Amino acid sequence: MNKKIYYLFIFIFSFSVLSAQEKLSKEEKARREKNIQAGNPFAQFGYKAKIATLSKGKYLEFHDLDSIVTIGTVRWHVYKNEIVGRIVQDSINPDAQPIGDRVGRWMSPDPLSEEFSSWSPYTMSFNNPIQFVDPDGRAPDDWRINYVDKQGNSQQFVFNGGATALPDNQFVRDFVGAYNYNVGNGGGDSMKAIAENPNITVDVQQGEFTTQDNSLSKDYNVVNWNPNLGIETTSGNILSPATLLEHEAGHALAGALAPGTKLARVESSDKQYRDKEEKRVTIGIEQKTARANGEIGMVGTTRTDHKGLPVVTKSPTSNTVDRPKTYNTLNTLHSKGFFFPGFGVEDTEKYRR
Amino acid sequence: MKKLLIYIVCPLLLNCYKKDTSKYLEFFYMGPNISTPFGYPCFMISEDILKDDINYKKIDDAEQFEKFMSLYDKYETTDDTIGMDIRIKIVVHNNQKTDTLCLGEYFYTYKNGVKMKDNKELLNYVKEIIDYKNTVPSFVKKHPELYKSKK
Repeated sequence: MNKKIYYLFIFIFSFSVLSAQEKLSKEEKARREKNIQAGNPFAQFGYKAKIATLSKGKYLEFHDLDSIVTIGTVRWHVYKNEIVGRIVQDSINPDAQPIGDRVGRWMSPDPLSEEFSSWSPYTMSFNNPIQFVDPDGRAPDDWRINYVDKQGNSQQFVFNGGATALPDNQFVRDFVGAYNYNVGNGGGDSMKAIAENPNITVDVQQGEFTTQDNSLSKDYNVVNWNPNLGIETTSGNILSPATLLEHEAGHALAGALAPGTKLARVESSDKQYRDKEEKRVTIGIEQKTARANGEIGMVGTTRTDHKGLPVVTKSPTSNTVDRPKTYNTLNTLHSKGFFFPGFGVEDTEKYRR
Repeated sequence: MKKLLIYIVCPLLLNCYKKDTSKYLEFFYMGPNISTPFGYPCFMISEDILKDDINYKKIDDAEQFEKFMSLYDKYETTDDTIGMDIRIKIVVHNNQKTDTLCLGEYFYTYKNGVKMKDNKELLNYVKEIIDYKNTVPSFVKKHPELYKSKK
């Protein structure tokens, strides 16, 4: 008796399961099979492969079967292997939709992902395309401005010369202001070249004095810049901090492009300018930028040597000397017996109020 | 009581005797390949002025000191007074006498403020002692994370 009830229960269960299954018409079965075989890459060879689908053919799951596809702005016929049309992108209308497959799509993980282990290999510009620029898909580069934020943390801001939102930091603003001032006036060739060359990274940070430092193996390339310190030259000209920044950018660019050649020039002494590298930069880009910034006349020279008296200026782009600050600084040095070559007490005294 | 006095006074007197250990060299220096917008005088090579950009090394090894002095004594004065751009300042402590030697990276030698003819042999020896070419800038020391991928 118990056995009979057991078999009856199995029969009812099986019947209910089978009857619950969808009964498909012949046409529907054919349609579903067509949907499945749409994803068969061997169909043209007559081979019917097993195709994995989610809906078992109920829905068409293969959507790249069009004979004409959009690749960028090109309409491409996949069977004829020819371009059959082009799309003109509306670059004026801010509401215009992106074209076809031009929307962002990663073809592979970032090959430099190991260098940025804390970031997903499928991100770009640290997910911040406003602050960082990555024109060649490698690493953020150009001018890397190092500063300390209000919380006392070290930060970097990458600047490639374009208009961009700046962090709330005076040094960053001073640097970008000096860049725009030099370049806008028609000088600043080296600063611009660094900004526009995606293969060069130059670090800039605030320093006691303006200097430039690079390794022959291109491990580092650093400019220390004091945005308050210009120099008076032995020719009597005052060079702004912005012009001195361009001077050091000239060395940085040479160090980035051909460090060996730069070193050969540094090792070649020059009676006036110490060495051939200083001569190249001083009579070249320093003079051009100083002239563009109105710090020397159209036919004048900034200096005929490598001497200078540090002076505090009114602003990073100004060549007007802040007389009290300059006098106090230089006078303190003199009281210890310190003088800069080519300059005496009288050069300091003229800045006394 | 006398014995106690001897035990106290003798060590005190012995301490007053100055041993011949005041022969050493102090090196203050900037790193290699540094460009500046104007030539640096010797006083600039100081931690008071250039802060972290100045490196320091003290050498009191007798052999190194003697070799240094043998080269140091060969310096000759020069009539050429043009040019000054210093990267290495050496304070030479030779018993009671203290000299200051200032060297540029490739040219310029000033001994106690007087310009001397350059001595390549001594310059190279100094660079060797302080491992000049491997001196890392303070910025790179502070931010090793920015450079680890390039090393």
